[in-house]
Amino acid sequence: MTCAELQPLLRDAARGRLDESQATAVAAHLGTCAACRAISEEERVLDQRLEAQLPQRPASLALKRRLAARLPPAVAPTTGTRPRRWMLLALPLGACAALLLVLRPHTDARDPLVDEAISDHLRVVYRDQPVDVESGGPHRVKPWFTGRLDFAVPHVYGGDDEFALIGGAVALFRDRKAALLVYKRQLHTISLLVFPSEGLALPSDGRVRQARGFQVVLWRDGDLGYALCSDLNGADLQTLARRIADQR
Amino acid sequence: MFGRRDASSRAELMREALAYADALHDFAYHLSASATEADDLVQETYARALGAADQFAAGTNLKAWLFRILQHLYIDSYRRQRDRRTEGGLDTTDGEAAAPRGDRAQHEIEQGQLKQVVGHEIEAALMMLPPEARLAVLFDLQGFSEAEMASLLGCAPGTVKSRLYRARAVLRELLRDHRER
Repeated sequence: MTCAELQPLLRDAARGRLDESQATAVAAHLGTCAACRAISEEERVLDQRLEAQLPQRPASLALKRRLAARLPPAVAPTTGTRPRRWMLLALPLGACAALLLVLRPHTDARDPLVDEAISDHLRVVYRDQPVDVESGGPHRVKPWFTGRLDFAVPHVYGGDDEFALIGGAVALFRDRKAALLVYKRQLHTISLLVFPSEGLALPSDGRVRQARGFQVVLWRDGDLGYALCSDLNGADLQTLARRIADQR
Repeated sequence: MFGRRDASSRAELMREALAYADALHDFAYHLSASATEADDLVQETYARALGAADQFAAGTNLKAWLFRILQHLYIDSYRRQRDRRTEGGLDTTDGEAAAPRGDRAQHEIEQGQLKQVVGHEIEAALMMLPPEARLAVLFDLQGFSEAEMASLLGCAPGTVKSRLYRARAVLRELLRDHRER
């Protein structure tokens, strides 16, 4: 690999987008080429500055209110109506469609746990008050969960310079209570749900899954499951996942 | 894939879209360099999104869709003002700006300089990038994948890679210039 071939790949390397053979080739080149190593370091510093020091320009409260005021009103679902004749015809068709969905290859199916993590994350983003207990560090948030959950939260990652812990709340993950921890990285909100993992098909690869523009990392640790979700880029979310998992 | 949304699902889509207001405003500000224009761009983005809600395919990337709308609005506005500007496109940028410097000692000095750069200088340097370059840097900062950026920028993934590399090299150069002034 030449310097000219390597340098455009530095961004992919920083974002964790290289496959194994490319990553090995990049590492080998950087090991022997001082000039590329220096550029790589410069890139890292630039990244750090862009992420930590570029002023953030969020929407003002006034603008958010104006946007919210223009939303179409939510329509309540109708209930209690008598079944109509077309519904009786639709039932067998619906059963056939459901069967086809079940028989469809799993590679096409959306992971319901990923969808759940995203829906829960969106509920966090929508809430005016996303947390019930504000962070004064892990020693304030962790005890707050005592008596509010039917399991003990073993550890609370207290955040760091890159990922600030905002606070916690009790939420639901599917059919069970979950501890919700909210972190921030610049303008990105990150939600972590911790819940009993019994009966859930949680993946063990720690891979970042993408859906609807969000990144999700799911993993299991003992009897507990973890769902981390944000619109942050996958490499950064994986970094936080590792820090949370290494907290033990 | 597309279908008419009822009022309830349109409302739900737009509520979901509101989650991106901060990120869209940040993006709009760093494109337009104006808080007023950023407000207008974000408002117009939501108005367009609401009007085109039927065209959004459920389950696809809502964030990318909103950023695409805002990007097009900005480009339209930029083109209207272009005769008053003198900037050239990134693809016409002189390659010298992105040329690597081989000398190790020089690099160490440059890294030291970069570390001292403060926020307003980074923002000023970002604003000096030509629009195509700024778009690439901002989309990358937003965490879009290379494929998503290729779709947003309307070019091949390989072009995204080289455009982003050149844009960041120019940015490093501009930041050095700020420090040397």
